[in-house]
Amino acid sequence: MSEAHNPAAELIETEFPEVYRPLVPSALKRAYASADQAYERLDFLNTPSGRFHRGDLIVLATELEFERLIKERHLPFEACWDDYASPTGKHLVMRSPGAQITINQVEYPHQKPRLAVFRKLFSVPNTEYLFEEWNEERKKDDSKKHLVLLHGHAHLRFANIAFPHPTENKLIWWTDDLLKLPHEVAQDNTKAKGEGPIASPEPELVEEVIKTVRDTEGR
Amino acid sequence: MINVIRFPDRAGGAVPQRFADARVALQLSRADVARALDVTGTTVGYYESGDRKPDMGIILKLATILRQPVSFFFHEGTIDVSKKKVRFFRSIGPKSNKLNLALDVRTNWLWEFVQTLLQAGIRLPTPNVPLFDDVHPDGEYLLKQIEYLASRTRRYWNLSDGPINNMVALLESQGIVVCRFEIGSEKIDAFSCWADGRPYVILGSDKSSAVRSRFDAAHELAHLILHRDISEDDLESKGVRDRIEREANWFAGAFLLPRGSLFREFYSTRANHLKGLKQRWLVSMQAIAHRAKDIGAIDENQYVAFRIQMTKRKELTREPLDDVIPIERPGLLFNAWKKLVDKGRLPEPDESEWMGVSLPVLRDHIGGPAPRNRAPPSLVLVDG
Repeated sequence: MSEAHNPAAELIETEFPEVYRPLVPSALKRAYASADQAYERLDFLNTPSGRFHRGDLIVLATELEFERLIKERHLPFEACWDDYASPTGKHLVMRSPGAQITINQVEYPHQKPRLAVFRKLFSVPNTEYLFEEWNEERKKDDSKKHLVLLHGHAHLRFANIAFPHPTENKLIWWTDDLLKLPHEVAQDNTKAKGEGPIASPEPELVEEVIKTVRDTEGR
Repeated sequence: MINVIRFPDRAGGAVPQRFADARVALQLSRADVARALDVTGTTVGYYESGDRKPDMGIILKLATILRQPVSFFFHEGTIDVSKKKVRFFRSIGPKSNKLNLALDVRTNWLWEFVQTLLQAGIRLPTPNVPLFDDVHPDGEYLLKQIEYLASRTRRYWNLSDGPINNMVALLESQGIVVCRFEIGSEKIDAFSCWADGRPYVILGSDKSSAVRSRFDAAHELAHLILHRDISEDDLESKGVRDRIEREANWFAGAFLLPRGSLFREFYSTRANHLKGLKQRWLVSMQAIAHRAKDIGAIDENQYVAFRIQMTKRKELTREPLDDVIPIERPGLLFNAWKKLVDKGRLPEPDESEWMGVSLPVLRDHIGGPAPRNRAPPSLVLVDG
């Protein structure tokens, strides 16, 4: 039986290829750590009201981490700081050739982030239309689709890339948990995975070299 | 007059420069030697210039004072030293500085030792240090240029972006002569030079941290690649020395910890995480954190917080795992020397010397296991 066609999975595969995904867990961990270190450094965050803003700091730190990865050319996206629909602030949008990817902190791994106008504009349904010409039209549509990089929550328990449903409060498809990609350095399994020689070379006598050359020529 | 035993006058064959070299290698002044010999400093100067020949008694005393076998002073050296062109990279002071002069002499001896091996019929790996002439620093290299060159050096040597197994063995496999001996100064950890077209890296054995010594080796590699155009005269300027040191540190960090790999693996300055990274990459926790700051994975404040944390834990000078990770020892020259001795191409060392080289100096050259070094036989009175 042929595998079911899954445009959402294909879109994610194309727009955020697997080769770049190992960068995600480390970047998120750095962002969460940066937010926590801000609390250690800044007294005004350590107030009863300040403690409620940890999530906001994580959002800011996460956006910075990903902008940096893009600037450093580790991620093949364009980093844009777009306005929210009502101009109350800006957020990072990572633009790939066929998608715009936002980073969202959510409480559960498969939770669609709260409503945003751009999400409505750029989302598409994942099912084929009844009429082929509609499907053709959709294929021709070169506007960027919306993907979300979800992560959360308090202690960074999960991260995945997902395709949100255009109208309903759910996700159409999502990747496995990116935090489970190999990225953690464990002290007991880090031996002998290096490169280059492990011992000094054994030099040869000139006469041995000459003999080898003669033997090779004689063959 | 009682005729005491006199040594035959072999002193005429002594090489004056050898007196000076042996003294300079120990960082002694002429006055120091003169005091020990009970002569004037001027006399020592005459011995070193060849204007006056010391008798055999003086030479025996000099051998003791200068810690050399007597034969050392008669060793003409079959090597044409004038052919040697040396260009040094070191971090401290003017070249007339006592330590620098001592290191020059010791490097000279090392070079002579390598020539002896080559003339005895050994083939060392051909030097294979890349020359990148398409990246031109505008006064100084930018970090991104250095990242690029470090990455290209890895590709040139068929390495991807993983941890380097053994930095010393890697350099040796690329035809760089690596030697480790006690430099005897806290100010200088290692140095490098080009001599007669072959690169040399000398690492201090004074450091007990294997990972820092690996960083030193990568730092010296940087000089060999980046600073070929720096002359000995340029190094007289502190500004130039500071610049090339900064660039070499950047290169060492970039070579040992490629940017992309660090972005994938680094996420915290927590001691446990850095310890894991240290064990995997064989780079000190401080160098990892510094590199993370250089590439922007952490900011200045986070780096300072990390340093404070290390200071509080008293781990700045001695980090976790420093007592576990073994020091990388050079082996190329030992392997060459042993092969030649085993084949009878070179003599075995006797109790006190090897071909006019004292055993401690030979040990410095070949590293590895100590050559035969039996205690000299001594006479004792027995009842009888």
